Amino acid sequence: MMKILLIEDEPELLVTIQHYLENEGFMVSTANSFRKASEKVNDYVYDCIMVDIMLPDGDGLSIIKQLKEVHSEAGIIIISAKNSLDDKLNGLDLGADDYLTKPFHLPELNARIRSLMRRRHHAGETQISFGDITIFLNRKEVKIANQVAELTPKEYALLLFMITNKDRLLSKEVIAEHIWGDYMDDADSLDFLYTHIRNLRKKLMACGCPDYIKSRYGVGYILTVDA
Amino acid sequence: MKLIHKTTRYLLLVTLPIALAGTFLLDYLIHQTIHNEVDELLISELKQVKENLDRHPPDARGLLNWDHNLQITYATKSRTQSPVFTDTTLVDSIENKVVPVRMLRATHAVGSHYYAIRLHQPYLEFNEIAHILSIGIVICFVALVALLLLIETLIFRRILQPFYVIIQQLKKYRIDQSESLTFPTSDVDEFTLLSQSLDEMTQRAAHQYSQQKQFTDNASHELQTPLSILSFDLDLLQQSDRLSEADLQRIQRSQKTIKRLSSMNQALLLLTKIDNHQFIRSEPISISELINKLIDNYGDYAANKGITLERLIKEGPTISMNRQLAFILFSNLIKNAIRHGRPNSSILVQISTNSFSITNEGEPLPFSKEELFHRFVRNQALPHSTGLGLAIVKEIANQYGMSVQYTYASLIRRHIFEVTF
Repeated sequence: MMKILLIEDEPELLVTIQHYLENEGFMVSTANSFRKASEKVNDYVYDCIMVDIMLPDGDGLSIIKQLKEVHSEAGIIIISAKNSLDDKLNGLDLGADDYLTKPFHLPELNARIRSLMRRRHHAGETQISFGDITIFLNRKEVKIANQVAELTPKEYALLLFMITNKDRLLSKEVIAEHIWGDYMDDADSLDFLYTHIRNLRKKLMACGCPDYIKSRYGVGYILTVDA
Repeated sequence: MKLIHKTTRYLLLVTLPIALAGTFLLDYLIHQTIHNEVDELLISELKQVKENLDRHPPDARGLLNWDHNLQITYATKSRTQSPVFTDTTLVDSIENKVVPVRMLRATHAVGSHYYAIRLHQPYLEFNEIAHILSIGIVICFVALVALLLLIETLIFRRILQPFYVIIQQLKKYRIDQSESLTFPTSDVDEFTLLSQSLDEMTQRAAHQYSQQKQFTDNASHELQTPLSILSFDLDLLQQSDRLSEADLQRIQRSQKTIKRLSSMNQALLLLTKIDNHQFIRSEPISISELINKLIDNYGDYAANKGITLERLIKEGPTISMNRQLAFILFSNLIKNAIRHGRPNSSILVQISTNSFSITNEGEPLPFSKEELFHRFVRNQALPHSTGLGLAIVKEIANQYGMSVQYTYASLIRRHIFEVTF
């Protein structure tokens, strides 16, 4: 089981994220201050560390430095309230792997952690299966039974994101933000997502795959094997 | 113009007329003095001649010119005249040359005899001496000035040394750098004062800068964190099976509102940061490359509205600016065009070496053109717009000395935005 250290000073955020990630099958340790985080980083080994860079008693970036000094193999995701490119670049320069700006969505966090873990463990997970679908991560290839489904890069990203967050209702906003980053906040602008989902469904079903993607009241989509 | 050149110019401007006027004045004064001296000499000689005449009145044959500078004759008129000075010329019998002389004419009565006395005094080389003397003095004066200028230049160069060091330091100064500047100390009070004042000023500026930065960081943290809590709770609530369609839609609406609040907060903080010049790090940005990337990214949104994005991108310029600001500047303009573009129309993006323009079809503005770039001015028909996007565009453009023009071509019903680099 993957071990995650969550460093966040806001107790409510800390508890919510912890519960969510535990439900996703991670083992989550928490630290609510720079001092505690520093101690835990020294004493234990983690697969992934999520660090808020604004802590009341110190700078989260120093934790990253500390990790790099001991040549830690842990993946590092910065959580920041600041949407600042400079901070992001500084963090990534120090050796962080990813940068998330608050507020973010929990499925997005899950996808980032999974993606990071896949990149970290080269020998590990190279393929993901869901129902009849198998994704070969190295080749970015999707197979149903033994038939290759020809997906566009966006459709591939869409499918991977949905499989990562399977059995969960993903709102259109969450999906759009994941795939396109800067999301346009027009009421009608997300209808195009429907087009992409429809094309993905068609391609998968053309290969003989059951329709796993369920629409929920026009709010969003769930990928599930349950009928 | 350099300070040294300026002072030199003023010095020359003052000294040259003085030198010129001085030549004439000196010449005149020396002449005047020689004149007076010659006159005095003649008067005292006249006195002596008169005394001699009184003591030994000569007979008629005795009036010989025993001194060619003195002539005594019997006066034709029997009355005394007051002495008269005149300037005249005489032929010098020895050098056979016409020389200027000062002449004094007087009459003197001894008993019943009247004598006319004429006294000469040649000016000799007096005039020449006067000329040489005045020119000599002026030459000395000019030489002195030249020497002064030379010394001044040398001194200036030495004294201004700390000044140039200060300028160098200031050129390197960046308000976001952590290490403070050290200005040179000097034995010149003015420069020491300047160094001290600059020291205080830069420290104050750095302090203010860091406080403002701190404020925007805190404001961002304090607002985004509660929004995150709200958003997470809604994410989790959304997963519940017992929600009705209406419930789910309420959750979605709340999520959108949170997103809007968050982007509003980000936009306001961004404006504050731009105002505070917090985006200092610049790098060369290829405009064409950036625009192509942005258009690829937003192409899906446009395609969904049936909008085609047409690019006329030539070799665009490379501009030194902050990457994040460049991204925001152009993405706001592109998003704006897609958002307000009429469905099933086209958006034209053009880049040339000195401008970027984007046009979209649509109804005329519901407010005046002047208000377009004001904060919180937005089309009420689009409830999700923050009304800050174009204000940010303007602010970023101003920061880099670019201009943003808006025109509405009513004939073809197109909004045109042009950024001139």
